[in-house]
Amino acid sequence: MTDRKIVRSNNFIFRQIVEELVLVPIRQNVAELDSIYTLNELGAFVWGKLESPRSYTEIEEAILADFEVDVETARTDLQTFMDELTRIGAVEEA
Amino acid sequence: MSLDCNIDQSVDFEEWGAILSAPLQGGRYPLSATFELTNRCNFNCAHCYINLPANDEAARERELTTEQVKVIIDQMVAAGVLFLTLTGGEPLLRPDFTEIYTYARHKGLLVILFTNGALITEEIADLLNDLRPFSVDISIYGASRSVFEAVTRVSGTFSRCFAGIERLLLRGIPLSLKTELMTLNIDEIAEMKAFADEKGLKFRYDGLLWPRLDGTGEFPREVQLPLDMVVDLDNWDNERHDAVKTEIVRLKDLKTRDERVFSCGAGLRSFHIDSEGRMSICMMARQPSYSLLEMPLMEAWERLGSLRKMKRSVISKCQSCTSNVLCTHCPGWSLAMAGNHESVVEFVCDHGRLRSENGLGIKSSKFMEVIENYE
Repeated sequence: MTDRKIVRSNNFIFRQIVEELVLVPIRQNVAELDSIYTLNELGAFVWGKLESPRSYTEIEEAILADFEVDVETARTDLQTFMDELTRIGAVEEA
Repeated sequence: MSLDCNIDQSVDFEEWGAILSAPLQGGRYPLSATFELTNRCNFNCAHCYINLPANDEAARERELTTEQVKVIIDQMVAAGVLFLTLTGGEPLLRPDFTEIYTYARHKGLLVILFTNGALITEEIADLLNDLRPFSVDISIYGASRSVFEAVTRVSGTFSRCFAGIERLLLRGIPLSLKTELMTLNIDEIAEMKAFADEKGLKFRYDGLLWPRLDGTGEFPREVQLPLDMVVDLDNWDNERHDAVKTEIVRLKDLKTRDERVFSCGAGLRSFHIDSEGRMSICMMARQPSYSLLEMPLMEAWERLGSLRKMKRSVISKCQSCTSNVLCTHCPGWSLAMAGNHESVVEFVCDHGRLRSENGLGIKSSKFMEVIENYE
């Protein structure tokens, strides 16, 4: 876990389509994505926080305040989620 | 500009559409839209169903303003539209195209651009490189200058179109090619396909032209291929064979014997908006339409929903037809040629009958299984 600040890139727009919360690519060919990225409630919560630069610690604290989840699970899930967002270029260092 | 109905879907967004619309279980949802930004075109194609001259001032003045287009895009986004096809006429004729395209992409719409390619300058190609479209579909009308420009009837269009194609290829922008086949260019279908293959591009074609959609009921008979040649296109290559099979699977439950007027997918997941802001159930069936300058998009969407429930009021041979598995007759044809939703257009009926007979004659185990199910 690090305290560097992370923020959304301008590569994706987050939209609700039917019942799914979808990350729509802006600067990549759709075919280059290996899947359609949809967010669950927790993912959407984190994405909402990333509108402005946040550290992992800040996001983790926000999750713990709003969701019934233990610290270890929150930390592990957040790391996995942020790794994936980083991999596809949806977030970047502020 | 050639026209795309469900029968030759322009881009491969079935996967996204299927996943996102799965929870709808057949319910209506405005997932995709076609939007004509102008009826004007810098080409003057012999077969076109909609084009007006590029310098038609009266047509230009009737077009939506930039701000009106943006308001409609905002309403699409709020409604949940994901796929937006920008078409025309030639959409790149609009001086505000860059502004409209950028706006739509930044709102999270996946844009498909239908264009003749001739106005894809370095600047437009750079724009598409920066904000990637879902796909660009370019219509090519021949493999040689003489044939191409016999269709477009404007000198210089051949080289400009292919220069546009090269600019997109250089940037790796998703691109597919298509053509409307007619008497003027049928002899170059193999060369056009070879060009697409060489570039690694999808290529699709159709030989049934469309009537003018401006209420005149005019049809480009002089360049329409004979129906037997149109039908024979289904036998032309393996990809087309596969497309026929897919069509039979898709259409086997969508019978013209259905008592509904609209037994196709029009208005179920999609809608159309013309250059003056009128919204209709699909690109071809333009009546009724509702002006988005006068009512919110979702209200127009709801009103169009009633069309899908409309029952046939006329007894015609369609109800007793047993050879309609590949029929492409639809209310759009009836509206364009006869001004109502149900009249049978004999020419299209003949096409459907011949195409179905031909399709049934294609032998393969998968095919026969499908037909047995259908019967």
